[in-house]
Amino acid sequence: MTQIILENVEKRFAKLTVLHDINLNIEDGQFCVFLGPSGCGKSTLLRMIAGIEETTEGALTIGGEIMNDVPPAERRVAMVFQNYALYPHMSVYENMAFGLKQAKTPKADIERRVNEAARMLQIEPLLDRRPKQLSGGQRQRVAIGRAIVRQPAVFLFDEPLSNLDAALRVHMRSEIANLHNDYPEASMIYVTHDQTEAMALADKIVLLRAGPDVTKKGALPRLARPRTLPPSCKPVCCRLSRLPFNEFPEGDVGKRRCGRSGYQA
Amino acid sequence: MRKKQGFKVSRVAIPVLGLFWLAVTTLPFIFVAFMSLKTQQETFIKPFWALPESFNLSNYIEVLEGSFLIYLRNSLFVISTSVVIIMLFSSMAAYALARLKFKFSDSLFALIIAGMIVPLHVTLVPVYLMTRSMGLYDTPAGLIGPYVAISLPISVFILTEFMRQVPKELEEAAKLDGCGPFKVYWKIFLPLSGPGLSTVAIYNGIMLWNEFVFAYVLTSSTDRRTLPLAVWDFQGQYASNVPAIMAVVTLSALPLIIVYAIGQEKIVNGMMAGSLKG
Repeated sequence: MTQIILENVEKRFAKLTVLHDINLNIEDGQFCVFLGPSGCGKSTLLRMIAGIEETTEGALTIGGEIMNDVPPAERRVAMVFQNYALYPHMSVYENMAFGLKQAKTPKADIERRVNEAARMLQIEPLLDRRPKQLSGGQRQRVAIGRAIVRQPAVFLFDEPLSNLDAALRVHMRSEIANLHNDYPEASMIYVTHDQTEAMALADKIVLLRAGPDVTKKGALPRLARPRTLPPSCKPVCCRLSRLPFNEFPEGDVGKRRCGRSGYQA
Repeated sequence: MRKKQGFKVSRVAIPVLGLFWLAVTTLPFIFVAFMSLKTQQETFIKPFWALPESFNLSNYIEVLEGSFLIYLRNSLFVISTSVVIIMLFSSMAAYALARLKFKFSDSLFALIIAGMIVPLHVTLVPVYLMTRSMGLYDTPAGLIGPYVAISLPISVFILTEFMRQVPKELEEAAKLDGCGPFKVYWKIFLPLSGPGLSTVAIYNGIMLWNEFVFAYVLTSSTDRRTLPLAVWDFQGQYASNVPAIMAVVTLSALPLIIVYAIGQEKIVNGMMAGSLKG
């Protein structure tokens, strides 16, 4: 029961509407990537699902329950931040245990879960250290560990790899893929502007576009048809990627699938 | 080439300026300390800057045999209580003003800061009358109240600026971990404001330790008076015992110097490093 459904979701900051009429269905255990250029609202959308940002309009459902007014801690979501957001005054162990302590989990249970996650992420020797004594990759692992111990229904990743060097990025990417295999029942939403990352990880890619609202011009029905890239979408994709972009005449794509990734808006 | 020369000038100028400033701050204290070792006759006969003839502790003995220790006890109690209350109140206010957005929060902040402009002594008469009518005259509480009040604006200002620097993500992570606003303040912001809190504690501690006027006006009995008034004991209408006053001043400054020497390391020990990428 980890399906996430967004219905006519909108986000406004004062008078400025940043997200228009979003309809999205992320299935149980699906790995969904929000892909788009910076400033397109993908992080905002993620934060709305986390509950850090309020949903101005529309309904947000996680596991069949409407979550619009549920506080973040009770949404059964866990988030990994771009800059890790580890509590600098706590040890690695305390960082990972903090959420469980707030939820009044029994001490033995906390210890077991933290140790289990630490073993999985190979950070057992670091449990007594402070975040500032860790390297970037280690901090990232702790941040992921902090998410794992909460046994969430949904994992949210906000550009988790963008602060790592190229080699480490590829390595951590495969670890996140492994994490998805280890927790097949949990849904994952992953925000990135890196197309390669999106292609490598996703079951489903949601493409967000910065700029004026295209839905009003009747582009949405065309965008919504899976694996069909209408002309209005093409410049977005091309701008996103430095890779050469395959173009097929409409209707032809279905026969020549490239990978398991599908496009949807 | 020119750049290199500028570099050299600054290499000489900075230590020289440093030494100059060291002299400005320490010479008066050295003068006070020497003076406190002289006898009263010596101060009248010998030149002003002459070294004391002998290591004479009679002034200190005289001071310590008087009410000095009572004053010290009062000072310690009043100042430590005030500083704890100041840190608690100002950090709470600072967290609310830095992070909780509510109606008029900016105006409220401006109003609190405006409190710094009010000349302290303007409030002396009203505070005195209020203290009397509340029955707090000549009690420790009568001093603690005004002390907290006069210290809050600058403390709130320092801590608000400090807490604005705490990364937003930490607050959001705490929310996801199940913390309400108070727990975010208590578990995240308060521990992370360590350096800011020490600044506030030291700044206000020094100011209040040396505060004279309020202590003079709001207390009357030896049992209640604080250290700055100890000087008053050796100051008569027609004569004053200068070496004894200097001994009082030295003894009053000593606790501050000791506390500062210990506390300084804690300020430097900033805890912010490592919370973000680095």
